[in-house]
Amino acid sequence: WRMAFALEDLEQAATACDGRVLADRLGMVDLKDQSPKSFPDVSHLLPRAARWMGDATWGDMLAEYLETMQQIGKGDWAEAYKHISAGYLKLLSIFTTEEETSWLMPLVHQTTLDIRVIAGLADEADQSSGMQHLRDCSEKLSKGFSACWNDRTDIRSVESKRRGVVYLVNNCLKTYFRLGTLRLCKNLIKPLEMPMGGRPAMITSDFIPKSELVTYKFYVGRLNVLEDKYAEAEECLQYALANSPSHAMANKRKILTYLVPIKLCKGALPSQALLEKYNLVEFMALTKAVRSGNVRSFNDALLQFQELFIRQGTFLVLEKSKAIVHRNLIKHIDQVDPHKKPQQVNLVKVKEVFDWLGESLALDEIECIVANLIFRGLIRGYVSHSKRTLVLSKTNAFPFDKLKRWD
Amino acid sequence: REALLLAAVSSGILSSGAAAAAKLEVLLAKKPHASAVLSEEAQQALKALQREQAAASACATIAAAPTDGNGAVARSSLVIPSAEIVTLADALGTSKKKQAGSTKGSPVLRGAVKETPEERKRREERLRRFNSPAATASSSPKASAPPPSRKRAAPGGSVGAVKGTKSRKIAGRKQRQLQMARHWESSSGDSGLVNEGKWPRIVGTCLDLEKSYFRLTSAPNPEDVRPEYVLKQSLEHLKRKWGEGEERANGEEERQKLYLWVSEQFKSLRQDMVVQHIRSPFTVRAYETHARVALENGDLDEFNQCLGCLLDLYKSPLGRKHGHLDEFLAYRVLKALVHHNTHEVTVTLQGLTARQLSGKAARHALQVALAYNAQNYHLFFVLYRDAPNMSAWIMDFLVLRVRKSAWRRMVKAYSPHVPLDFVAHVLAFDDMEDARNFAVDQGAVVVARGGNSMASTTTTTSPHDSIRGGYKKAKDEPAAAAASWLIDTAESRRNLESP
Repeated sequence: WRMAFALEDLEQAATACDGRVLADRLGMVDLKDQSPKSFPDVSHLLPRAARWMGDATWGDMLAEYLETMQQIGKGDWAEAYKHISAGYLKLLSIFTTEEETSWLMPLVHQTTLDIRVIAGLADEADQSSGMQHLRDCSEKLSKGFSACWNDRTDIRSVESKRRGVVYLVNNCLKTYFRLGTLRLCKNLIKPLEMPMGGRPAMITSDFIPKSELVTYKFYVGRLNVLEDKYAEAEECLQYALANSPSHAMANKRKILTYLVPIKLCKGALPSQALLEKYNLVEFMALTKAVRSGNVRSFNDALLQFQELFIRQGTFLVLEKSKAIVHRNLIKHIDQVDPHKKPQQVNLVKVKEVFDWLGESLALDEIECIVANLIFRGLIRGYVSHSKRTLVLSKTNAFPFDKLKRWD
Repeated sequence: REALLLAAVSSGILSSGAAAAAKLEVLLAKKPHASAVLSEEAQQALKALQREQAAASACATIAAAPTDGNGAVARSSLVIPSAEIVTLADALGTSKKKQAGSTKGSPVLRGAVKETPEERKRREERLRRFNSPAATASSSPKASAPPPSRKRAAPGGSVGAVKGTKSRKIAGRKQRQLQMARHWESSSGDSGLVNEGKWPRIVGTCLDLEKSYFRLTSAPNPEDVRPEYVLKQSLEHLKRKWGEGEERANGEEERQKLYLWVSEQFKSLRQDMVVQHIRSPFTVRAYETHARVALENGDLDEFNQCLGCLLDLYKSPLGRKHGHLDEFLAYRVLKALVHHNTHEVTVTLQGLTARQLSGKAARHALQVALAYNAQNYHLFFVLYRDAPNMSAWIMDFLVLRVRKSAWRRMVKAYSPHVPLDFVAHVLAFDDMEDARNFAVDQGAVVVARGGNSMASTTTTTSPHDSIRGGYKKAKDEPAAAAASWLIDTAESRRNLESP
């Protein structure tokens, strides 16, 4: 908020090429908590706005910004969105056509954030229109992306507009995720990840602020989860988790909601301490079930939070961790069975245990499950079909290095 | 007491009674071993009745179907033990191959379901086309099935709201249609339908039942476009033609020609609907029919288009009421699996209500997805054998993939031998020859069990026969020799790793 709002201030900042001040003055949304600021009545400034900087384009742009502030003051998000998107377009036209405008980057970033938040608020207010604001916003943001990306200046120079592109990409990704149009994400990620012209990929550059990189990795990680690329997903999400500031609990929790399922189906179980620290209630019963190999409680736990998992898109991933449950169950049977011959697990016994746990499978299916476990290397041994037994290897039949605790 | 009850019911079936059949089905589900009590005739009659029932109305069957013991949980668990499917399949005799549901596929059009072995033969034929070197080289149906071609429409133009409201008492109906149109309009933001907004809405005057398909580049002449009532008759005409043609067709080529013709007719029918902005229960019916016919002939491209349009139409409650949402949701999930598109499956899951999730076909498809994800080949083929509607036609495209992965796992896990007939059974090979060819293709080393292969089939029955009572050996004479074939897994493994 500010006491007085003077166009002279803005004019001074603009002539001094101080993008940060402009961004601060013309920002609609607070950068820290992404909530809209409150504005004093600026209607008296509108007539003068058009003559700002002695240039029609600049003046129009400022007029739109001021209108937005007015509408925000009234609480009319739809109208506010109209004005800010118009202002954004004008800003972009200045940004791309005039010379030496890379100092405007902070303002571009700020307005990008504004436009996304306001679009979200407008859609919330008007549920029946079905996300049309966000859709429009995504179009505008992709224009912003091209404005930054298509700058010919060498990226090694500080003046290059490409340096600010990751912030825009993050906002685009967030919008696409809200809308569900994930196929458009590829167009943003590919240019960043691809090494071009002998230089390494842009995303590896060191001028990218860590906060932007963490957000970027988070969304790319989520995308990889949805595309079944678990190894890459784990890498991205792990990076995001490790590099988040220690006080950002909410963010880290979000990262974990996607990281835990991936690790779970690999066999790396989160510790109870970790789950409690971030209050990940939904995974507690599940992890316990996986650890003990209890098929019944695994199914129950999955059913209990089924809605949540489906909404988050992690249900199918968690289903895959059933294999680990089976592995642990067979291991326990191997340890506990009093009548067994050494190193042999009678599959009929296994079937009985499954039946007892409420999941009655045919013997053939149990063989199939065991075959899968052997194939994946989670059990070392072989199945004798004629004798219906699983013969374990003498050494390291249930390799532990495949499963790791982590916290 | 239950045995008596069953006997009474079974005799009731022999006379008549869909209700009796339904009751019997319920009983069977609860007590699978009771099927032994039923006489052979009763079983046959039951099967025939079930086919008829399914042909008559899939919806009714779904309504009468047993609740599978999952309880009335609001969101029924996807984690469903597979045993229930196994017992049902066993109880009702050998695999019911592709009982044409309420599809407009040819068996139903003809009024009788084809003989199961024939149907099986045809399916094996179809699967063999995947065995060709070209297909195995690419090892994914991407070679034979082009990726979905969804047409993205800009927010559609005004859907012509009201059509033909003549009498005044249709005021309420007008209101509903307006609402429906508005609803369809607002939900078609990202639809797969061809952009209706391109064409100004017109009403056609043409009266032809058959019309070839020409791609439109500009607004068509009303004289070339057929109004809705003509289109309805045209659809019936096409269905008749397709059914008759299928019967008469002898050989693959003739069938192909017939299909190409029918496909063209359907496309022109759809085009007429789009041009006139017709969105009604008839639209849903027409798209569904085309989708099923396309699927039956393996035309994934057209099927994709129809599926996209149908999913758009189902967004409105009227579309859902008059169409088979359950069936096509299942197709959507299965198609997503074929295209390696797990995100699509996730999205489908997210968009379903609890009630939709419990639909028979949708549940089956989701179980297939879970089985496929977990590489559970056993469950996959159990579901394959027992697929509702035309899901099996789509699963055809997954079969080769699953078989290959299953082969790798079986060869790695079993040692020292695994019987060929067991492999053939698990991988749903009905023809031992096919099984053997498949195995050899994968580099199997098949040895005969020690001793003569022909003579002592009794002594060489695999012990798993006694454990798994319901299992029947595939065919008699050739299998007598085959039953004694074993696959040497160690050798086969070596072949797999270094082909």
